[in-house]
Amino acid sequence: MKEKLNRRDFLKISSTTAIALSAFPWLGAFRNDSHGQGASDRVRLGFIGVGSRGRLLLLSTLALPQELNFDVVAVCDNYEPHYQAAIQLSQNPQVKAFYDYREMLEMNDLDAVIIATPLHEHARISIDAMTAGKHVFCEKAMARHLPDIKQMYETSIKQNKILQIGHQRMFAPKYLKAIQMIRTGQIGKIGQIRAFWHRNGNWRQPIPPDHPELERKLNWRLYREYSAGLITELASHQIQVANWALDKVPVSVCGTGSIVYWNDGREVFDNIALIFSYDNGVQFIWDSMTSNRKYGCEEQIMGNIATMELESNKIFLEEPPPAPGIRQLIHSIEKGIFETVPIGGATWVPERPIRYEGEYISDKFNQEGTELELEAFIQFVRKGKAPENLLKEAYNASIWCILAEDAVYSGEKLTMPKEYII
Amino acid sequence: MQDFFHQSSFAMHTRFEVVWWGVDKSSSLALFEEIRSLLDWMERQISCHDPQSQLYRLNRLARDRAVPVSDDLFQVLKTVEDYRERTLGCFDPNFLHPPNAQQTGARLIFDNSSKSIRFNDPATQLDLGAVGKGLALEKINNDILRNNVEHAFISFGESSILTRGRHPIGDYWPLGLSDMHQPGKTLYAMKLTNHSVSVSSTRKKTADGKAGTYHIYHPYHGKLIQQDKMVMVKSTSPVEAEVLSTALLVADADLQQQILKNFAVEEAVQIIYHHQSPKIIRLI
Repeated sequence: MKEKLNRRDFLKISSTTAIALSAFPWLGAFRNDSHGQGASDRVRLGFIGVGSRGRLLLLSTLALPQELNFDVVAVCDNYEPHYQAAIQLSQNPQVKAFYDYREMLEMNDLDAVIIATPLHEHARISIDAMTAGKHVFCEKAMARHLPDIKQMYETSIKQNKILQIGHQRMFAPKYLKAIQMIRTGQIGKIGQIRAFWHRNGNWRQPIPPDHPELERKLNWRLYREYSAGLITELASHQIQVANWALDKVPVSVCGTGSIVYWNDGREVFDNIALIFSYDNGVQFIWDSMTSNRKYGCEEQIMGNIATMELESNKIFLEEPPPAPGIRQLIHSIEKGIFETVPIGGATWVPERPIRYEGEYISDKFNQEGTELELEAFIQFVRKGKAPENLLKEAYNASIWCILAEDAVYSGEKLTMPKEYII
Repeated sequence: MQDFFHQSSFAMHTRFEVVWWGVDKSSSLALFEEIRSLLDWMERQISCHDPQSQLYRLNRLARDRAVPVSDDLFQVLKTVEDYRERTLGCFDPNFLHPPNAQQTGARLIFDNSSKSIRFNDPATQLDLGAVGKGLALEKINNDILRNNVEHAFISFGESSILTRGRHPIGDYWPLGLSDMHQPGKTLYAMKLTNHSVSVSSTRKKTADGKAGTYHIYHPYHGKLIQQDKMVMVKSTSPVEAEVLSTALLVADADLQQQILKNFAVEEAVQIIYHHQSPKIIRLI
């Protein structure tokens, strides 16, 4: 199975694997072959927050083909090791480096920023950037609080600036193929979706021994002031997938959480279970824990015809289609015909051990979508706009993350407040 | 037509399909689930691929010591050994195909009191694939009779078939043996009522249903049989149909007739190809 593909490959497989670009308008970004080669067409990017995820986004961007006509012109981080590393990684001797993002936003020769700071900073930086006339790519989840999520969304509309959120599965070929198969009825009526993300580790960044005051800054994921923990950092992806698969948003969420294993002073739960309900009766059940990794990460979408396991790129049919002879027999009975049924021929010999192991959803590509989403962002910036549903997907995923957290802490089943419905 | 029921599933490493009529849908669905549970249970007994199965455990341990097994597996292996003798060693569930393996004393040592089994020859490794579907069809037959299904067509991979009663608009189930080189073209037709049919071929089927590479080794000398050949056996016993289609496939003409004297089958046909041109030979 091929591991990586670029835009040209993507267009090729779109036509050969029947991924309908019309069903996913954001893929229109890959249709544009005109990048311009002049400086006036060049997309100038700045990176804000270059820790673990930000570093990956920077490296993924730099791995994109130069013909896309973009430059990384600025980097920003207020943590010295990340700041220095970002300068080195940018591969641009002229790169401008900042400790304060507000100074970066004053640059006139900057078109867009890519934000991968701690969650609680997303809203302020994104809103400031869009207000300063910059397009924004921001990591998920959108923000720490419901009003901030709404304000980010409204600022994007008001300022007419792109706000793209890092839901890379929306660009991953196997997910696109899977959603198309769902839309065309190939797994039947969905009854339930299950997703889980299990790890075995403390989820901590190492703190320099002589700087204990950096604990909350570097391990922000563990403190409620900055993050909803596993919900915003992990579930956000899978809530987006569930909503996307159902083409709906939930009507309610309930859940529970606890600290079972990592009693190390963290404030967020290391063990969570959530149930999201949809208006058609479908339940989306999500759980996460960080002291066992046997079951890993998966999204299981269960229809009456088939089950999809998207992370594994697998589809499992409930019933195999009839074999040729049986198909003929069924046809003859239905049509009232009495005819000989041909069977036999060469012998079927088991080559797979044990049991049915399903088929690949996409038999060619298993690539996750980070590079493709960044490539699309550059193209959107050049055009000055991005498809509306790209942001709506992210908005609803983020809103339901925060509602889920509220449900866990309140012990109540929560619905979406009217003011957050878009 | 009313009360016509079809369901399929994966079982015993192939496609399992049922077609029956004359039973209401909810009863049919319940019966199908019962059969699926039965097949799961059987695979846990007799699959040589499943590390959780009894047979897998037996293959791993029985060369060194007597291994207790369930009553069912004990009886199955006794039956299989009996068939090995009655087919003069041409049906042989030992998949390691050691040369000169035929007819030379007991392969398995049975202890009736402790229901345990030990391999006489440490090279023995059992694979019940050639008889497992027949054993399953026998149990399914009992199941559907108990549930008053009078008319049924049940298939494992279109090579192991069980029928009850008749086609909805005929007096029997009309079955044809398909040409391995021209799938869908019928070479020989049979009428089935309460019968089983098993088809074995020297070539295995490719993913697109065509004839692939050879896969049958002769149990006498362990050599790969490189001749295009099929055998179809019709019997009232699904197990005997399975056993015989395998045994007759590897046996020469004289041996075929010797073997058939030990069984009461209704019909047996052999297809031998010469440059992909089939010659049909009635063995019974």
